Amino acid sequence: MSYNTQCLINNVFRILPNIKNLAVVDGTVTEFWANDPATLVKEPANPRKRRKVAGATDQEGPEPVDPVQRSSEHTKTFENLWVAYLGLPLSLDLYKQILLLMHKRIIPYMHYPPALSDFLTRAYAQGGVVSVLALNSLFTLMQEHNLTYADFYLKLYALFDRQLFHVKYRSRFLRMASLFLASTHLPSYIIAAFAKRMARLALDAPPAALLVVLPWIYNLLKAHASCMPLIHRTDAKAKPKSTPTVNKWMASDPYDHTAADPKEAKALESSLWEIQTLQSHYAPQVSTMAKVFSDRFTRNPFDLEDFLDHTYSTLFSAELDRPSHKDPALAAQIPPRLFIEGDTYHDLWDLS
Amino acid sequence: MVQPEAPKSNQSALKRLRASLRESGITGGKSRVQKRPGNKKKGGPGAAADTPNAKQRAAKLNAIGAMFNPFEIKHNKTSKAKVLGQNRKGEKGRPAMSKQIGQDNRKKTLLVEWQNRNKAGGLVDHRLGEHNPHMTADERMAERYTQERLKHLRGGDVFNLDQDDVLTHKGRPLTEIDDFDEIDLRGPELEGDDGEDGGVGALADRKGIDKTTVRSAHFGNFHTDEQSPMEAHQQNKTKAEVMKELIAKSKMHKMERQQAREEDDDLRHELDDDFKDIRSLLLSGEGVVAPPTDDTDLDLTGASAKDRMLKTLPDQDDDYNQYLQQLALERRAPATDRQKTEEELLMEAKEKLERAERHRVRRMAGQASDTEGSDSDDDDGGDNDAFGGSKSNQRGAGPKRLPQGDDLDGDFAEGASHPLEGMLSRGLQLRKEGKLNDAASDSEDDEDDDEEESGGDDQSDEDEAVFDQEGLSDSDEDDADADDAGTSKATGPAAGTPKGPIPRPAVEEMPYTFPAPETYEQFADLLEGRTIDQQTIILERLRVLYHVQLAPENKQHLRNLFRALYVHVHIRVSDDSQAPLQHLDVFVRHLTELAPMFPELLGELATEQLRNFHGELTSRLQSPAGQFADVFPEATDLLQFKLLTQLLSVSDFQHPIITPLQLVLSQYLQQYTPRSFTDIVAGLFVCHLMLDMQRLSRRFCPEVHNYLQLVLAALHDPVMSETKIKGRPSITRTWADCGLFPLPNGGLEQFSFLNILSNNTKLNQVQYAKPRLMQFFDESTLPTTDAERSATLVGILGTTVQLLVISARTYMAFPSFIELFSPIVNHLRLLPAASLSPSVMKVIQNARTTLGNFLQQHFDRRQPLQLQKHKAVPIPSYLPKFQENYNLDRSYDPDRARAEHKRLQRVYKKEMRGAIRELRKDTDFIQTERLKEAKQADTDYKRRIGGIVGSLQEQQKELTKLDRIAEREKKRKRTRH
Repeated sequence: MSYNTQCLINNVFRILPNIKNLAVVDGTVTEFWANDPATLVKEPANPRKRRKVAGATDQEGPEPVDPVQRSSEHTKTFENLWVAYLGLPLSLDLYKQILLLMHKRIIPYMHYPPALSDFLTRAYAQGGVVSVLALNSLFTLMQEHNLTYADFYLKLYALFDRQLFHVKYRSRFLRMASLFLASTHLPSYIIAAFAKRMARLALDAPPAALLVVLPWIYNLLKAHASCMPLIHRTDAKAKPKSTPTVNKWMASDPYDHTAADPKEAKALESSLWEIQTLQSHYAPQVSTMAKVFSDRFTRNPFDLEDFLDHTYSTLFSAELDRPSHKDPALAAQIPPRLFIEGDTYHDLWDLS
Repeated sequence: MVQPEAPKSNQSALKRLRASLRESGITGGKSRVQKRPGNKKKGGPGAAADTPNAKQRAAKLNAIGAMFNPFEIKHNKTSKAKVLGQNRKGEKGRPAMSKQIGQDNRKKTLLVEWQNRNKAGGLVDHRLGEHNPHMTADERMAERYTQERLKHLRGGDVFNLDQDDVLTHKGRPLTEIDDFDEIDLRGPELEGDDGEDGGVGALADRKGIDKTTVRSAHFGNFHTDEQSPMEAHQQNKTKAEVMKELIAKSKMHKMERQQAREEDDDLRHELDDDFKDIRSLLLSGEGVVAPPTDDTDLDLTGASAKDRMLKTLPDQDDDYNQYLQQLALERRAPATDRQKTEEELLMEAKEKLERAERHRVRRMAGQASDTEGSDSDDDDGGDNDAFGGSKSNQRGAGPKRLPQGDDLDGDFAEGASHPLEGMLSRGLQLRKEGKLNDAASDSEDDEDDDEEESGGDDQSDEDEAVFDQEGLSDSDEDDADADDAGTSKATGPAAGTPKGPIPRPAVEEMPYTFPAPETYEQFADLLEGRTIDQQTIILERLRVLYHVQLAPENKQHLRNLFRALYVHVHIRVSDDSQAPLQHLDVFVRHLTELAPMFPELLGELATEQLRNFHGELTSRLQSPAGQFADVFPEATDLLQFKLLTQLLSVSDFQHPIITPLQLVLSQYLQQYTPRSFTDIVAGLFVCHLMLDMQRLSRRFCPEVHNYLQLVLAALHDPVMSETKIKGRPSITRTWADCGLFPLPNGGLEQFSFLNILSNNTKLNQVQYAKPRLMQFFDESTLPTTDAERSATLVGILGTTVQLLVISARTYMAFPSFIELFSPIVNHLRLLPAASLSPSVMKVIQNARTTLGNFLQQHFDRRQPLQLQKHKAVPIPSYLPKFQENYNLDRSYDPDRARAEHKRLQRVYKKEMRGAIRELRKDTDFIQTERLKEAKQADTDYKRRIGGIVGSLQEQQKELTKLDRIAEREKKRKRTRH
């Protein structure tokens, strides 16, 4: 791609998102920024006719009078504009930025939003951060414009990868994903697979993410009682035999993390040992939340919105600013030196 | 009153009456007349009341009569199903009787009130039993007497003169003092004489009362005719005269007392003089301990032995008494704790440790348990079980802390009960040693010392010099105190030598007292230019000089010292990171000793440091990579965090310092991308810190796990190396096999400096050596050559692998152990064994076997989760519940609060109804009374008016009569004439 093309694409992107507040209802287009002699002749009653859509000039060409006043023409032009633009070779950064603002700035003003479905489907299939960002717009299309997406949950399942809980758009994605999984009509194997996958990933997740994932899994189990064997299984079954694979130990868990299809992951036969592990997490909030799974399942479902905005910094500040009426507890036995002979520090480091 | 039972109701009323009369013994069957009830009843009280038996008879008859009057009994239908032999309350009632009772009661209470409604005052007879007709006069008196006695027994009133308590005047009971004993009743003209010759004799003269006095004063009223002029005068004394008399008398008495005292004194002096002689005899007496006297001239020849004995015997007693008194007055030794045996001391230490452990375990479980009282000790015994008895045992009887330089009970003062006390004596010991040195050298040295001190002061500015002088004088006083304490202690077994050889020259050059540093600058000035040994001594001397037991303001001094020490550790490391770490222990030791005194200050300092660290971290995370060139975190941060982890209780569920510390360190591990060896080493050390903090609480920290995996992957990327070898990664290399740790932005490629295969050295020649921590925090000591790099990388590899083993041991009990550590075992297996030296491979092999064993155990033991295994909850049943022996009056509500509420409501309603009924009856009664009064008033009025009218009519009648008579007379006269 030539440098000039790149510049053009970037420049156009500077302009396009500024087209805001488009009229979407007929009859609301009353103000124009420039006089159109043709319309002036035909409609003297409307002397202050202006063009509102600045970017539309080069594509509109000579138009009949009426369509200018029709909002549908505006939206159609807008749509053509964007679809044409999205066909250009976009850099990853631009891609992300467009996806970020698509569901708020583009889709509402389009005449026929499903025109974007190709673009979004491609983006969603791409995986990684791009998919996460495409999810919002895709959801809007599915919800409001009856877009059907084959294997949606398969793709969603794939989105839960090792990076997910560490990326910047974590809360945005989790908010959407919790919406998708909120349906009570989903089969329990899907719910179980998602829950197990989240739990597995939670073993490496920061506390802020854990504070979303744990209540979410709780809500899922609460809504789908058929998934309760994940945390409570009474029927004993034959122990798995270690198979001579690369990781023979992992065979002790029936769940197959590598399976791409939730149907084949055998999550329903597994248990959420990860949650029991997290019950002894170092952050008190997380371990308290994980201990909820050992209580009776009589709690109301958690409102995830309460947990989505945590970060390391908020947790840190909350801990440090917690009013304490007591002096900090000291160690029972304080060693007199920084490194005592015989401690593990001396085994690992040369402390001279 | 017991009502006789009514006979069976199927007989006729007459028969029943007869039967009941017979039963009650009224009719004996003698005469037919007497049997007749009509007669009996009508014959009634008048005839029967003569004899005592007659009264009883009348009562019985009344009862029987009432029983047989069907109109007086009201039957209530209380229950539909009657049960034979059951006595129900409220089944039968006697409305007339209860009404009568109510009326009577009201007459007694309400009516009285009503009648007194417009009256204020009146007489109330409170005499005991006065209105009780059932009491005889004797009983009444007995009761009153008892009450009176009881009143006295209860203490009565103090000012009641009628009490049995004897009132005294000057130690004599008032009853013994005759009012006229000391009053001079001879006339006022003799007073002058009296005042002059008032001696002992005069007193004796006046003792008795002469007859005249008795006659005139006591019984004068009976003999008025014999009044003498003097008596008359006496009687007519004015008030002023009486007062004058009294004053004169009191003066006289005072003088008499003085004289008596003087006489006593003389007598005593005489005795004292005699005593000298006697004492000499006493000294010779055997078996009698005589007090040492300075009187040495003993005259033993003057009296025979017998005389001596006779003389000494009473004196012996006297002496004995004196000694007794001396002993009694002697100041008692203050009570001290019994010297404890070694077992007791051990037991005490053990108990203390166990208690501390219990509290720690409670805090670890997140329970509020900071009340270090013994009351909570008993009930938290069960908590140990929750965490496995073995752990607590291991902790309770675990290795004690290692002996320290100032471990007083071990090293220095065995008898010192308080650590600070020992501390004090140890410091004094140092000082004493210094003094000995001084004594050995000539006196010039002393002067030199003084000069040195003043010289040191000269360097600071004037204000400080003044302060120093004050400080010196203060501390001199303190020294004196301390010396006293020291000498008293020096006799004990504590007189050991201070531990650690102190370089002689250092001691000689140093002043003994220092001003207490208030700020860090002052503290730094104190240590300026001193060697580490001198600094050690300075700190020790500061601790002794400003020991908290010496003066109350020393606590503030120590506080400042603590703050300065904390800052000093920071500054010292950042100034010279290559100084031996052991030197830090000089300061760390005092920090650890002072920390228990100032936990809140430690909290403040740590909080501030954490905030700074967090601010630094976030600003670095938000800025583009490479903007900050300096090292982060610095060595001083690492070491101070290490210090915090050993000062504070790291196992707490939620700790105001440790929890934020863990959070911020985790954030650092997770989000801060390492770019150099220094970063990696710092990160590994932080991992070590985090793991060390979990050694008791065994809490899971995903960030540490991720970081270690990342470093391992950076050291040797299995996917990449396989790609290199085979051209493509094998199909089994999926992301799950290498662990699910998040890859940093930019992938593993950015850690190429960490790849152990990246350097052009023969790796299998490089032996594993522990990396020197502080080496990486100085530009000059960083590894530069390939050989150094390789050595460093091998060191980092070894440390990482060992940290993984530590974390595996820490997380051994986790149910997800397999998911956590099986990728690591896989990874370790893929390390290029051929290109590593045997010493490294040994470490790796050890790790593999350890992890493999753990994994196999977990693999064998893995069970499905049963998190919802709760105590069975009974299924709610909607079948009716049948209650055995159901009772309507009882409440069977399982909710006790609700049942109680209902009960109270019922009681309230009942009481309300009762009260309304009573009030209604009261109103009725009052109205009836009012009506009666009105009627009475009307009747009275009518009668009065009638009387008046009658009398007037009478008068009129008389008048008319007279008029008629007069008329008639007139007529008659007229007729005569």
